[in-house]
Formats: sequence, C-alpha cells, structure tokens
Amino acid sequence: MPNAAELFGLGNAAVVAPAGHGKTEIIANVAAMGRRALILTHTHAGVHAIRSRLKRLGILHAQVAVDTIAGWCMRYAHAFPGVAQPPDGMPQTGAQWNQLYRGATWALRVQAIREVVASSYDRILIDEYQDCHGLQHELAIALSSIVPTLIFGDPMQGIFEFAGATLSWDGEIHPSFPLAGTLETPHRWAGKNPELGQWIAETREKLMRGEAIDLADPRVTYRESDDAFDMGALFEGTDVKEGSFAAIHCNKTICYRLAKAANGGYQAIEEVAANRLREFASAWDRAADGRSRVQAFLALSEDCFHKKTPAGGEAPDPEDSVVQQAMRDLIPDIDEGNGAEAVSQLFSLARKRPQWRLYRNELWRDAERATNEVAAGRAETMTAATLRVRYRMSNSGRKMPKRTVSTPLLLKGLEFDHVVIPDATHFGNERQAQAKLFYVAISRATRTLTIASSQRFVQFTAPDL
Amino acid sequence: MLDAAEAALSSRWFSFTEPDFLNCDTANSIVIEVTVGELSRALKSDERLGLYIRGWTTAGELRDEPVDDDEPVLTVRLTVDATMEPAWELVCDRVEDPRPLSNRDRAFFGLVRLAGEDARHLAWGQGSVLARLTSDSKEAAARLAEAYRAARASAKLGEIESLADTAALAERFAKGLGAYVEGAYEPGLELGRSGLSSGSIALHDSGVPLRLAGLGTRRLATLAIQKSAIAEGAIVLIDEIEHGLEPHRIIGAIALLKADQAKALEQRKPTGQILMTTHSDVALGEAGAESLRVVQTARPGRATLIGRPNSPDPLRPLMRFMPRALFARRILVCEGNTELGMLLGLRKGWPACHGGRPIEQLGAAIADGNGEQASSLALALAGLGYPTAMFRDSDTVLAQSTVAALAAAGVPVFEYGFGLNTEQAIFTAASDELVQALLVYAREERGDAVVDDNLNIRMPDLGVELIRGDFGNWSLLSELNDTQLREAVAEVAARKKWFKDQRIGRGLAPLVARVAAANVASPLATTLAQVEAWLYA
Repeated sequence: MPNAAELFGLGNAAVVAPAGHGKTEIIANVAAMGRRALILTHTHAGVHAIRSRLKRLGILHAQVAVDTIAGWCMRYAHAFPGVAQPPDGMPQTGAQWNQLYRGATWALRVQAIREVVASSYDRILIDEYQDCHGLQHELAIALSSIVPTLIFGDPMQGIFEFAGATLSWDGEIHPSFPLAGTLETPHRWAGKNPELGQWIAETREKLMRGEAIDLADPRVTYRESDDAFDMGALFEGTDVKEGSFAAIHCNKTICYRLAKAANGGYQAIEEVAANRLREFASAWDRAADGRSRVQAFLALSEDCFHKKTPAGGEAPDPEDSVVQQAMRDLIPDIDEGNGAEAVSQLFSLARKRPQWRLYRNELWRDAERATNEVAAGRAETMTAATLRVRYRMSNSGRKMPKRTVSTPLLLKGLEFDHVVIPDATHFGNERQAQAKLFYVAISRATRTLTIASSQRFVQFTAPDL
Repeated sequence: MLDAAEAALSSRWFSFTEPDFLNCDTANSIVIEVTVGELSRALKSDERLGLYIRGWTTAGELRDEPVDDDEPVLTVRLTVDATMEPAWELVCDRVEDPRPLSNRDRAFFGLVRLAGEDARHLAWGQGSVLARLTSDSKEAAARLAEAYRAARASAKLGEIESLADTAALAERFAKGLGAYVEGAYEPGLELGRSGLSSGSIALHDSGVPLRLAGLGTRRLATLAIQKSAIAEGAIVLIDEIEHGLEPHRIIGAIALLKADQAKALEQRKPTGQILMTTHSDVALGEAGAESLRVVQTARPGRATLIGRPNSPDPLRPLMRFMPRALFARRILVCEGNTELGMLLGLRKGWPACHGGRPIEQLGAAIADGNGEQASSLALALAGLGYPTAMFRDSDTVLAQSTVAALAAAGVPVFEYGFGLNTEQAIFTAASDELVQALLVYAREERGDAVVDDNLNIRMPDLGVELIRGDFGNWSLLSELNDTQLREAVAEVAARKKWFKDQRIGRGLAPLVARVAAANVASPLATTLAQVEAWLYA
C-alpha cells in the first residue's frame, strides 16, 4: 500500500479502505500535501468528520475545500446555469437530482470552467466512493480529466445498492481509477481490541466469498436466541461496560420497536430525510381546528414515547397525574392563534411525565424546536420550521445518544465501543447487499461485539463488488 | 482613460469629487466597467472569483456565461454615485447579488501605474515596491527592523545584505529598461526628514538619492522596479512614455517592454497588457501598427471612442514615414513627395488668409501616402475614424473599386483632372515669366548642366544656348507653340524627377503659389483651393 506522499504522486487512482483502517487520516494527509485540495463526500456528516480531522491535524482551512458531491454540484451548476441547466432551488425528485449531477458534468466540458477547476485545486479526493451512482461516477471521471483525482472506498460497505449505487469496481471504477492498493492497518481496534479487529477482517474475507460465518468465536460474544426482541442481549453488561453502545438491525420499524421495548434505554435516531417529522409538520399545518392539532401532537407522542398504563385497579401515579392535568389545561389554548405557544409547552411537559419513556429523543427534540420556531414567529408554518431545524442539524452535526438502536445505513461511518446485533439471521432476509450490511454492522464495534442468533453459523449471498 | 482603468483595477482606494463627474453633475453616477482576460490562477480559483467568470469569444465578443472554448474573463465595475463612495463589484448577470471586490481581490489584477513624479517607489517605505521585493526573502520583516536599528547605529546601510541585494536587483531592472546608472544602486539614508522610518531608506546612485536623478532615469527606474514586483501578466499603465526621455531611450524602453512580452508569449506565460499613452511619433513608430489604438473625443458631448485598425498592414507605411500624422484630428494623405513637399511649403502662406491660424491649430495634418499606397492608407485612416482626404495628381487613373471604396468611406479625392500630373498642372498654368522662374529653381537644385541637357535632348531644335536663355524667347525659334513647349518642359521635369523630393517640393511652393494666384481658373489653382478649404474646414 503506497503512503500518502506516494499517493499524491500517483494521479488518478483508487484506494480500497476497509472499515476502521484510517481512511480519513490518509485523505487528510494527502490533501495537505498540495496547494489546495478538494475533498468530496456524500453526507454532511461525512463533511463534518473530515473537517474535524483536518482541524485536529492542524491543516489550514485554506488548503482544503470539503463539500458533499451534491453541494459541490449545486455550487457549480448554479454558477453556470446556461450549460448546466440545474433544477430551480433544492432538487426534490430523483430526476431533478440526476439533472443536477448531469448538468455539473456538462459544465466541465466548457474550457473556461475547466480552467476554473484546474486553478482551484491541484488534487481531488472523493470519499465513500462505493456510495456513488453512475452519474456521480461520470462527474468524477470528468473531474479526473482536469485534476488528478484519488478515490477512496470499500466495496464491502456499498450498502446503497437499493439507491442505485451499484458501480462495479473491476468493471466500471478501476478502468478510470486504477487500484493503488488496500489499506492494511486496522487503526480502529489498536489499543482497544485488536483480536476483535482481526475477527472482523477475517469475516470480511469470508463474506466476500459468500462463506459461512461461525459466530461461536472467542473474539466475539455469541448469544443463542430465537427472540429478535431479546432484551438480555441489549442490556448485558451495560452496567459494567464503559463507553457507547449500538444495537443494529436492518429494519427501521424493528429498530423503533426495539427502542420502545428497551423503554428508553436505547434511543432510536432519525433518518436525514426525517419523514416522521415532516409528517407531523404537515398534519399540523393541515389541521383546521384545535382538535386536529391535538391529534397530530398525540400521534407523534405515540411514536416517541413508551407509555406505561397502570395495570387494572392500580392507582395512577400521582406525580404523573399532576403533569397530565397540566397538559389537559393547555388543550383549549391550542386553538388560540397558531397554537404553537401551547403545543411548545406540551412538548416540554411530555418529557416530564414519569410514566412516559422517550425512545425517539431526536425526533421529539426536533419537533419541539420546530414548534418553538413557530411560536417565536421565526417561521410561518410548521413545515418551514422543520426545514430550518433540520438544515441547522445537518450543518452542525449530530450528537449520538449513549445507547443507540438503528440501521446499518444510518450508523455507517460511525463507531461504537460496544455493538449488539440482536438477530444475525435477519440479514439473510435482506433482498440486496446482505453480506455488506452485515459487514457494516459488525465493523462498527471497537471493543466488544455481541451477536444474538438462532443459529451458530450464518451465511449470506456473496456480494456484488 | 488610464485613470479609469487604474481606478477600476488598482487595489488603492480612490476618493472622488464633483469635478470627476460629467459636467460636475453628481446625478449621473460614474460607472467604469473593465473586462480582464488572461486571469491568474488565484483569480480563477473558485474560492475567489472563479465562479463569476464570463466568456470572451474567439471573435472578441463578451458573453455572460462562457461556452465551448471561450477565454475566461472577469468584468469589474466601479460605481461612484452622489455619495462619492466608490463601490467595486464583479459584473455577472447569473447571480442576483453582485460580488463586491475588496482591495485584496483587486490586487490580484496586478496593475501598475507609472506616474513619473512618484519618489515613493524609490524608497523602502511602507507598502512600497522595494519593501515588497525585499519581502521575497525570508525573515524580511525582521531584517527590515534590524536594518532600521542598524541604520540608527551606523547608517552603513550597504552592509545590510537584504537591502543591498534589493538595490542590486533594482539596478538590474532599471538598467534593463535603459535608465542611466552612474555608479551602482545602494540603499542610503535620506537626511533632513523628521524621525527615522522605513521611508528614510532610499535608493542612491553613487551616494546621490535616485529621486534627484533625471526625470527619464527616475521614471524608467520606477517602472522597472514596479514591474519586477509583479510575477507575471501585469497590467501596466504608462502616461506619456516619452516624458523626460531622449528618442533613443524611448525606443529602447518600448523595445524592452515588447521583448518581455514576446518572451512571455514564447514561454506560454501570461503576457499582461501595457496601456501607454503617447504624443511622440518616436514612441508610436516603435510601438508598431498592431499596437495602435486611436482615442477620439467628440465635442461637445465628450463621447470618447477608441478605434483600432481593422488590419494594421495599410498603416505600416504611414507608421514608418509619418507617424506624426496620427496625432492629428484630420489628415490629408498626399500621393507623392512632390505634392507633400509642395503642400508643406504652401501651408506657410495660408494663415495670412485665415486669421493667422495655421492648420495645426485645427488639428489638421498633411501625411505622406508613399505613392501607390496612398489610397489604402487613406481608407485605413478613415476606418480609424479620422476625417481623411487624399491629394494626388491625375496621370494614373484610380481603379473603379478604389474610387467606390473611397467614396463609401467618405474620403474626398482632390486631383487636377484632365490626366494632369503635378508638373503639368504647374507648367501649363504658369506664365512665361513663372516658367522661367521654375526653370531657374530647377537649375539651382539639380545643376545647370543637368537641366539644360535634359531639355536639349527633348527639344533639339532649340539649341543649348537658347535653352540657357529666357523661356519667353523659346517659341520664337521653336516649331512648338507655347502650349506644346510647356508640355515638353513638364514632361521632362516629371520624367527626370526634378521636383520629386520633399525638400525641393517645399522650395517649389512659393512659385506654385504665384502660379495659382496668377491663374485662378487653372486646374492647379482650383485643386489647391479645394485642399486648402478642406484643411481649414
């Protein structure tokens, strides 16, 4: 594997980077070698991760530009709208996004615009290349004809096949970006649990070949269990283990149910698209009267809280009753004006009910912030307010809860001290990329990995690479 | 023009006052737009101005968004309204809010204005070019500070390496451009100022402050030092390059500037642009026809136009023989040396009939058309926007297409008609006495033997004795009548080129004036009257 200086001299090339092998570090180091580099990645979270690494390494802000591929395309396509024909404003549909990427690629055919790119950067680095679809690949090829371009990615983490990220490394990527090498040092586990890192590396190889995986390995904790909602797996050792926890399941709905079953012990996190939040906002904006507004609020609370109801004949918790009464008193106010002031108080009171356990804190917090925006008059509608809140979020980065339950898609790129796979066999039911999803799930763990499964051996379809 | 370019592109702040506005009316904002090509890497970077570039087509037109292989250019707009507050911004129709330009942004355009009297650049003051050149080396600030301390202590500035090196560098640049260097450039302390600052250290030439050198040397040294501080592709504005320079140093300086550009072009580096104003025909001749732009201001509206030749080729002979005509407002192109010399001589007599005003005061000039090139030259000048006329004799007929082109360009052609050349026009209109005077003049200029011999061969029946005598007696013994004799003399004069010389033509003028005055109906007199009227129009 070439070092950073050698990579810098290579021109167009591809680096395969298995999870936890110091990809961000090498990207930052290569970027710092030139006059000014451009680093492109897919998500705002990725941008944050790279920016904070650059800052930690003391690399000057002026030396590296970091952007999402979409953000970069927006900038260039709107700077040269005649040739790029970008959709108005933020693209909404898939076709509009495709037009954005296509347009940016068209712009790169114009000599003057090529000169701008050549004058702006002396090196381009593209991260998470396995997540690129065909049009982004074409853009990368166009860029690589102007400025030497290095791409970084891991075929085994290409879990966005469902979204069209199905580029073949040998057939489509390497002809334009010849393989420079594969990162070899498992930095993520150094000083934490090198044996676990070793097991994950071995498992990666087996998964690539479609071989069976023996879960009963001393380097991981195997729990035989038939129950996908086995709380024992989720909470084993949480009282003694230090650090962050993640439970990983491919099914979003099951994640919410796990969070609910865990009674607030694990928090579910939200997708970037924030569908449930938007659903609440549009229900609120549509509501013709106070009653419909209350319904929107209650429906959201059902999805965010585990609400304990007193068993038959049991006296209600007096403390809970006090808060409940306070909430009831606010109900008439919700019909007043835009109702935001009252509902904003309801949001905060809901957290105080002893019998309610919050398991989608992020969703509840964002909805609460949105109501505050409306109450303060900073937004006209709840929908506008949620957009503001989410925009701020995506630009400031998210803080993970101590214990998280979510899907490989949302946890990709993050790492946790302790990872629990509540049901290993379910990966085999995934229609696409089952081996890659499993690899992404297990490679999040840095200290311990607990896998619950009804079978000791699991086997997944060999991945498309 | 140079002020406008400087105000738009210089990184300096400019303050404006009422007189800067048209008719001193601040209701009309000052708007200056400058489009700059050959952009440096720093300007084209997307972190600076790259996303605001526009396209310059191969046909030399501007479009807001570049396509195909347009050259990337930037348009800077300086606006000054009644508040007198200048605002610099980029023009780019694609963005709603114009991008303001800071002085740091503008510094990247690399503009240098040579203003001759600026002694600032010959000292190490704050922001001076010498200070910048010194900053090229490491720890310059520390060294400069050390220099001040050392200066206080010993005043042996020459021993401070960084200053001495910069002085040597400045000397090399200045010599390259033709500045006279008496001994060697060195840093020296300027006494007689209050306090010691960086500005107290100035360039000295053998102990004498450079600011006391001759104007030309001072200007060349300043230009050389300023220019050298810009890595590549500078936009250099030079006011009246000839100011303070002898012709050979004008030629030398311009030749060097051109050579620098040619070298940059060869190395495929940015060549930059030199905008130079001049009223010197030496400078014009050296700059060459392809570099020529003509600035004309219409009055009273004061709309100013800059013309450039469609093709520089027809102007080359004029640039070579008579570049000074280009400084005129209206130009009369003469076909040959006889006509040119004759008119230059005749113009001395004209002021007396025109209230004492010479044609030059009206901005009219008489130019050499170099024979057959006269009509293409006249067309090129008309194309540049000069009111142009042509004066020629009629022995050859202009091609029909040329006549049409001249008419289309509004160029009047003054000629005698009747197939007459100038010699014929003069001799046929002259009285015996004046023919004799003309012959006397020809003998003075060409020698008795030559003239008499020329005539004798043409008219053997006269005999040399008679030819030496008075022309009035020739017809007595000749088979030729008066008219035929005049034609014969004219024919000899033309064929033997007695008067085809500017100086001789000039000497001929008083006689021609007498011929015309004595015979006002002659083609000579009417044609010369037309010429005179046009020049005084």
